[in-house]
Amino acid sequence: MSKLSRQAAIVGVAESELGKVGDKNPLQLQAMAARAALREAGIEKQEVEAIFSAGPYAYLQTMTIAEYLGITPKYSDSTSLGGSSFEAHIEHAVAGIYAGLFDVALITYGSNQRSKRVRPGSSIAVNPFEAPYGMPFPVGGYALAAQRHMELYGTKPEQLAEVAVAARKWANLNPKAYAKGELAVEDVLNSPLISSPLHALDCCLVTDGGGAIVIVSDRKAKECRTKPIWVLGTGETHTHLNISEMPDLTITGARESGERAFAMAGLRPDEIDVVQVYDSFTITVILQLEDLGFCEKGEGGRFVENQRIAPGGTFPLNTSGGGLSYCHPGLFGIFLLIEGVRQLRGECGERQVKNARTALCNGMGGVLSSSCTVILGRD
Amino acid sequence: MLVEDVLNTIDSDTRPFWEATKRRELLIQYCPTCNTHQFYPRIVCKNCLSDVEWTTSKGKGTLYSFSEVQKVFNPDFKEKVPFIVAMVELDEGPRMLTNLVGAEIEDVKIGMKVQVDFSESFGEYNLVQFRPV
Ligand SMILES: [Zn+2]
Repeated sequence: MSKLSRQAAIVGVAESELGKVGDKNPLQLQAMAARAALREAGIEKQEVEAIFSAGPYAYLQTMTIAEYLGITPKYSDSTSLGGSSFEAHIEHAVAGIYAGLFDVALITYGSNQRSKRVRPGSSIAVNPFEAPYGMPFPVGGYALAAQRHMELYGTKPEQLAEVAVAARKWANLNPKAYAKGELAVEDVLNSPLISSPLHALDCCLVTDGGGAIVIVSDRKAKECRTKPIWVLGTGETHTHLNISEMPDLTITGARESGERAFAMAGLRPDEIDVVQVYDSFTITVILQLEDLGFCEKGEGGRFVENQRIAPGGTFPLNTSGGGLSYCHPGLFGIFLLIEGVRQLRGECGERQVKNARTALCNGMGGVLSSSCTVILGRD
Repeated sequence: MLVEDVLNTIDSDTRPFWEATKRRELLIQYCPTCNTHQFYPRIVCKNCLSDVEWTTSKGKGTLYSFSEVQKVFNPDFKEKVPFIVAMVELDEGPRMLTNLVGAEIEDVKIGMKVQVDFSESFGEYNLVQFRPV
């Protein structure tokens, strides 16, 4: 176990309004989430010393949100790794807290991409070696990974569909989830093929929403209203930006980020009680389960069979309903952390995993490009 | 729009590649220091940061993965649907994103041998696509 383990605790988490927010802008969503997260922790806005943010809502993200909230930070970090940015922010906050640079940090994100009808990837520069070929972004990149996984390991579309079905069952237990109702494997397979082998229901939602997290030093955590949720381990990496540069289409950076996080926490995969992994697409989940060591490479499809990851299954995964059925406002990583914290506090009502003491959250960004792992635990 | 946007990116890293497509040649880069090839073009070797040389690829490779695109968001491709996006591993080593043309989707298999195809123009240049051998 590393000396960075248990140095910092998450003491406040909150979403903004989710789904379709009409004419609300991303700064309003972040302000609502930040206020709720700070109030929950019992921390005054004036006590915030460090600000972390990412996302296409602004060019200079932390300067934009800090100005809007009237914060003059002494530490500022707009590390931008796509969907995993916020897991990276946790690692950076732990480092800053451990180094004694600050005691209180605020992490925020917000997007109104659904209401504004922003096209995915529209903020990304034209790649002259990809754009001429018409690969739909980002689903086509994930489709290439899925196709190769199927070829090498015999993974089946029905197994991918199990991931979406389980997510919907969790969402049906989450009052804040966007997509609800019955969903069967056949429904996923009968939804329109977008980029083979991925169907429309293999893809995450497009919603609006924002989130905020307050993370503090162990000293400050003692003054807070909430039960501290400790950061036990973290790891981050990125292996490429463009899918054509991915070293191996079936191995993600989660192998490295996960290994580092487990080493820092002094834990093994079988010691994790509840898992939240990025579900941009169903294949993303399969790859992460393998790369994080919850099963062998190539076994991911079989691992999720028979609704093992659904409510009542032996491996509770993405208990909020995930990006597939709860919400997906462009970058989902902050919501993985919010749900992980709530599970460890025991606040999840019908979807609560009994006696959850450890949680793993793994963000992925770009096209399987960045991976950042956070392992959390309670007292 | 698409062609213009792509061609606007041409600079000193990529100009020799595009010019070569007019001669129906696929230019990649070779590093004499570490004896590796690379694509896309860069000013240095991504393996060892040495200077690199341009070299003409034999244009032969293996299908690494593929996807049949049924739905696109980009209006430039609406009329082409369905088409095949492919990742090809060149015999020299580097991988490229491309299209697989001249193939029925039922016959497409990962691992099949492919060769470069310049039959589709792209502005004043030719597009680097691949077809089955
Ligand atoms: Zn070299």
